[in-house]
Amino acid sequence: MRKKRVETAVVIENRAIAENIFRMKLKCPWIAARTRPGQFLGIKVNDAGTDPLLRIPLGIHRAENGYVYLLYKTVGLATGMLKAKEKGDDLDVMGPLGNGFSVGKALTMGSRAILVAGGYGVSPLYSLAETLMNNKVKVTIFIGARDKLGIVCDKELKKLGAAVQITTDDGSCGLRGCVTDAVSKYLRRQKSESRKGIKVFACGPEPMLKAVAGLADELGIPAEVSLDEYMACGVGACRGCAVKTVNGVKLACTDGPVFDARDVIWE
Amino acid sequence: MSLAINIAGVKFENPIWAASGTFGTGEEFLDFVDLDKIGAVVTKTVTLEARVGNPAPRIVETASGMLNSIGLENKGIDHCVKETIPFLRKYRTKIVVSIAGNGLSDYTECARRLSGKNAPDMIEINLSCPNVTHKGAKHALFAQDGALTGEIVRAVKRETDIPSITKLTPNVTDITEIAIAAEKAGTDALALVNTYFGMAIDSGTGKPVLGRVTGGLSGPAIKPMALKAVYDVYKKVKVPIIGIGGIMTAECAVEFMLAGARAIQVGTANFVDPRSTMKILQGVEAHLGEKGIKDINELTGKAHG
Ligand SMILES: Cc1cc2nc3c(=O)[nH]c(=O)nc-3n(C[C@H](O)[C@H](O)[C@H](O)COP(=O)(O)OP(=O)(O)OC[C@H]3O[C@@H](n4cnc5c(N)ncnc54)[C@H](O)[C@@H]3O)c2cc1C
Ligand SMILES: Cc1cc2nc3c(=O)[nH]c(=O)nc-3n(C[C@H](O)[C@H](O)[C@H](O)COP(=O)(O)O)c2cc1C
Ligand code: FES
Repeated sequence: MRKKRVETAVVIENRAIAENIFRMKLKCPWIAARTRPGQFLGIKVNDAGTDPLLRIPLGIHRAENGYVYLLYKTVGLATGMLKAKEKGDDLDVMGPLGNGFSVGKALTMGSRAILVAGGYGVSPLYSLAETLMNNKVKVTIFIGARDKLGIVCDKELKKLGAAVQITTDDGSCGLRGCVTDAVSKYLRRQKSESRKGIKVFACGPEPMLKAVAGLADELGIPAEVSLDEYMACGVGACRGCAVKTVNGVKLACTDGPVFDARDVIWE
Repeated sequence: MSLAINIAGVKFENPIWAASGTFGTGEEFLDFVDLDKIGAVVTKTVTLEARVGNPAPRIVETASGMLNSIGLENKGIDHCVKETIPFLRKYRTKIVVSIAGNGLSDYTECARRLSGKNAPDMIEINLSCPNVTHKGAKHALFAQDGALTGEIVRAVKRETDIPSITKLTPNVTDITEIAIAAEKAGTDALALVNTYFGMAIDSGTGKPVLGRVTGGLSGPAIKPMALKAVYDVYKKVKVPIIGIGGIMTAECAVEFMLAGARAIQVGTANFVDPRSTMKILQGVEAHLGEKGIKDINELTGKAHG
């Protein structure tokens, strides 16, 4: 049975929701029906010409009723071109790619999930939160950004019923400081008994993931991190997205992008 | 209309192949490609022992192309014989196993281990990977040295009856000299080109982008240079040439054949669209139909007049 394919999606909506951060709604029923939280798409932004050439990986923000939502930050050529797509435009997308977060397995009713998002890292954590809450798992999400202009999805997550904690580097929204410090304080406050039912999921810049991994390891809490590697093929063929783990070299595109934090060997 | 080609007695259903290192073992593309239809799969280069490859980042996009410094990460020759070849044997595609090593004896030992029960249809001798270092060698790549190229080709030929393709680097002053050396040593075919040396520096951080600093350039950016390499070598050798470098469309494939290629390999295009080999195959077929060409072999070298 086919697990992934190239689908011609139709842009339904593409608009700025914060400074340089866009949300795109795509009609792509085949992929939408097969998506798990934490998986991603390979998007061919350019339909004519060779710059940019490769597909770009973007996490699936949400998938429902035949629609897939993306959340992206414009940082360069490809994301800049994606921003210009309009309602009704076709978009060549490949997916769903990668393995998502392990919902279900480690989490049962009554357990708690701590989600840690840095910048656009909140994107896949949104659908994870949705799934976990459907499974009756209590969700607390920490969202960190440079300033209040970079904080997205907080209202939607609150509406879902998640506890939301915001941190910004400049204090313009929520607590001032680094998101991992807030998470650290929170986890250390928990009694060792109540720490047992906790699992941490993180997505964001590598220094943040590394800090989360270190913290989880120290406190003996299981954690999963979604890694952001340069990718070319997205299907495990080029071996470009190598991740060093205690189980040898793994690929972010097929073995990941989500890894058990304890397995990753950080540079 | 016939798309079939014959190289060293091996019959390929068509000349559209997947290039080494860009197609995994083929299994990665099962959702997109019909392995019964593709002319051949050239496996990711294997070495005697497994290799872990180079530090990240290993790939970066550049103008109309990409740089890679994978560093021949692979699971070793025995894994290839035990797993990869039997997997590909379930399909009608021909199997070409690409081999590399640190020295002559690595190549011959790989060839020996391939010559058992699970033998591939051909061996591609990769003398041109830009992302590994050979201790004590005069040149960075074996294929930069005509004498060494000849020596390795001869040794592999002595070791095995499996016909071989020698894959050359374009990072030389005159690729035809190396091609001639490989032909004299008895290679059954030549594959050109492997990637061009290149690098990327991030003006923001002030540092090279790739973990290994330098890498190999592939994609549309190299096509005109690769095409010329095939054109030049075709004039000087008799053995079949397999053209590689920036082939993205059926037109590109036809151009390489006109320049002198008997078959072509699709590399970077597999990343842009995983169905590229199938699309190129259909496009080439359509081209023959439009031009009223009965046999694809008629295309080879036609640009030479
Ligand atoms: C599995 C996965 C999921 C992702 N999900 C999202 C998402 O949901 N939303 C989102 O906005 N972005 C996401 N990204 C990152 C996104 O792919 C890159 O931002 C995008 O490819 C940049 O393309 P560009 O041409 O616009 O920028 P470029 O011009 O290529 O690069 C701009 C800058 O970003 C850096 N950069 C580019 N790609 C990466 C990368 N893969 N990792 C780290 N740095 C990089 C470059 O070094 C450069 O400094 C994800 C990446 C991966 C691997
Ligand atoms: C990510 C990547 C990995 C590669 N690995 C190998 C390899 O293991 N062995 C080899 O002979 N060539 C390797 N190549 C080179 C290709 O087979 C091909 O010669 C080159 O990319 C030029 O063709 P293209 O422009 O169509 O990609 C690799 C290329 C890329 C992009
Ligand atoms: S992106 Fe090619 S192997 Fe992961």
